[in-house]
Amino acid sequence: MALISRWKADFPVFLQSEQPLFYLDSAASSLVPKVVADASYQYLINEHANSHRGFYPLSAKLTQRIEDIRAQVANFINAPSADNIIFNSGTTAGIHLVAKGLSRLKSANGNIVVSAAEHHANFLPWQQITENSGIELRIAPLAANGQVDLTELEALMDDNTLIVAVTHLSNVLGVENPVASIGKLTQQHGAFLLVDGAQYAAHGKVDVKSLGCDFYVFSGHKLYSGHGSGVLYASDAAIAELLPVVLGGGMVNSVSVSDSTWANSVRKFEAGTLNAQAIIALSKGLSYLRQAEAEGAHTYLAELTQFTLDKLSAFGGINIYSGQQSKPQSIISFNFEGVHSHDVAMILAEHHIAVRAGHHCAQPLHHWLGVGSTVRISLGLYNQAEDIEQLLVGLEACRQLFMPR
Amino acid sequence: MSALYQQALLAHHQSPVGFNLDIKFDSEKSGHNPACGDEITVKVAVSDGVITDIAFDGDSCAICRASASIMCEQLNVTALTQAKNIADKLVTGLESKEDLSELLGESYAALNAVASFPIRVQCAQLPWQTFQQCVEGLAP
Repeated sequence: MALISRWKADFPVFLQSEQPLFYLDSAASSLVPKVVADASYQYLINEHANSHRGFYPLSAKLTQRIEDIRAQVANFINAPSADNIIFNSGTTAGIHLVAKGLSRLKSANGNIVVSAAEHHANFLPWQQITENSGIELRIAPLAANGQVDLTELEALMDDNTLIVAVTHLSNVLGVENPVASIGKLTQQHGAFLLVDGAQYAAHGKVDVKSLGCDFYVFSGHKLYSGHGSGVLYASDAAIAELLPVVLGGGMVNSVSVSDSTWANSVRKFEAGTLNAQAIIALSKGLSYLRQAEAEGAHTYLAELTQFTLDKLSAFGGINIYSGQQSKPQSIISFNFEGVHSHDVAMILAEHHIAVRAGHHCAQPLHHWLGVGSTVRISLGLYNQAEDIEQLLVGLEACRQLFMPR
Repeated sequence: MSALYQQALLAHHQSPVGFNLDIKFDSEKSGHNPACGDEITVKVAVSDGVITDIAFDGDSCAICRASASIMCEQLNVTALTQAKNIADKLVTGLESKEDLSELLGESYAALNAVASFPIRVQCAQLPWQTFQQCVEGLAP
C-alpha cells in the first residue's frame, strides 16, 4: 500500500520552500492550499469592504456572501439553521463567549464539569468562573484508554450541573471522546454540553444534532483555512440563555443614552467588524476539506496514523501516549526515553521536520500522563509515508547524539 | 554534528556535575520556564561567604541541564559575591550574544552556540536565574 498523498500538490509551500519541509504540526495550524490563498487574494483585491453596513453593492454583496457562508457552516456540522452559527476569531474566543455570557453561570451555586484532558482554552475560563463563586469545578478523570471515564463523569454530575465542557478529540492523545453518550447524560440532568471541536473538525464528520450538544466550537486555522476565523455553534435553547459579552457596533437593535437593546439574531454575538477575509477563507477551506473527504481523506489519514504508530513502536525507546487500546486519529504524542522533548524537537527541526514539543497547552493532562512534556506529531492531508521515514531519520540522529553506543 | 548540541555541551548533559546530589544546603529555590516546561531546583550551601556545595535536580532539556552542570562546576568553592557576579554576567551575556569564553573563560564556551537559537537562550539562563534567586537572601 503506497501512502502517497494525492493532496500534497495543492499546497504551494512544498514547491516554494528552499529547504525541504516535513510538516507534522497540523494540530497546531494546518497549512493552506492554493485555492484558499487564491480566495483570500481575490477577496482582498476585488471584494473587500465592510459587511453588514453599507448600502452600496460591494458591501451588500459581501454581507450576502457571509450569510451564505453561515449557512454553509451550519450544513458542515449539521446544525438546524444558519441562525445557530456565530462567527468569531477562534475556539478560544468561542469558549469565552459561552463561559462569560451564559446566564445560568451567574448563579450562586451549582457545578461545572470538565475533563482532565482539556486544552487550557477549555479549562481556564471554567476555572476562573468557579474561583470566588459558589460554583464548583469538577474534573472528570480519564479512563486507561485516554477517553473521559463515563462512569466517573456520571458520578460527578447531578441536577445542579450547569454545563459539561469536553474535547471531542484530545489535542495530545488523539483520542476521540464518546460525546454522544455524554450528551445523553447532560440531557438527563438538564445541563448544557459544550464540545471543543478544534481538533476533531478536521478529522471526522461533525453532526451536532446526533451529538446532542448545546455548543460546538472550532477554528478555521486547523481546517486548512489560515488564521482568523472561528465558529461557535449554539443550539436554540443555548442561544436563549446566552448574553452578549463583547458589545459594540453591528450587534444592536437600538441604543440610547438610557437603554440599549440587542439585535434579534446571532449578530448580537458578533460586535465589531467581522473578519470577512478569514470567513471567506474558511468557506474555501471547508469546501476543500469536504472534497478531500469525498476522495477518501479519512481512510487515508487513518492508514497513515497506523503506519506511523507501527514505525514508532518498531523504532524502540519511544513511549507513545495515546491511551491503552485506543486508536488515535492523526495525533500521536510520545517521548524518546532519556531525551527531553525540546531536544528531540530541536534535532528534528535540523532535519526539516516540524513537530510540537512541550505540554501543548494541556498541563492537567500531562500531570495525568505523569510527564512534564511530550513530542507531538500530527498529520494533515499533505502528509505521506516519506514524512514518517524522515521522522525516523531525525529520531535516529537523536539517538546517535544523546545515546552514543 | 548538530549546530546547537556541540560535544562539550553534550558531555555536560551526559555527565552533569552536581545533578541529583543530596547535599546539605542553606538555601533552595525552584525555577521553571513556562514557555518550554523546563523545571529546575538549585541548592546551595554557604560557609563564611563561600559556596561550599551546590547541586541541582529537575526535569529539563539538555541545554538547561548542561548549563546547570557548568554552573555547579564553576561556582563550587567560590566566594558568594564572585559567584553572583558570574551569574549576572552570564545571564546578560547570553541575552546580548556576547562571547562567553571571552567574558568568563573557556569553561563557558559550550554555551556560545545557544545564542544562535534565541528560543533556547532562556533554557540556558534558567539555572543561573534560579541560582540568583536562591542566593538572594544569603549574607555575603
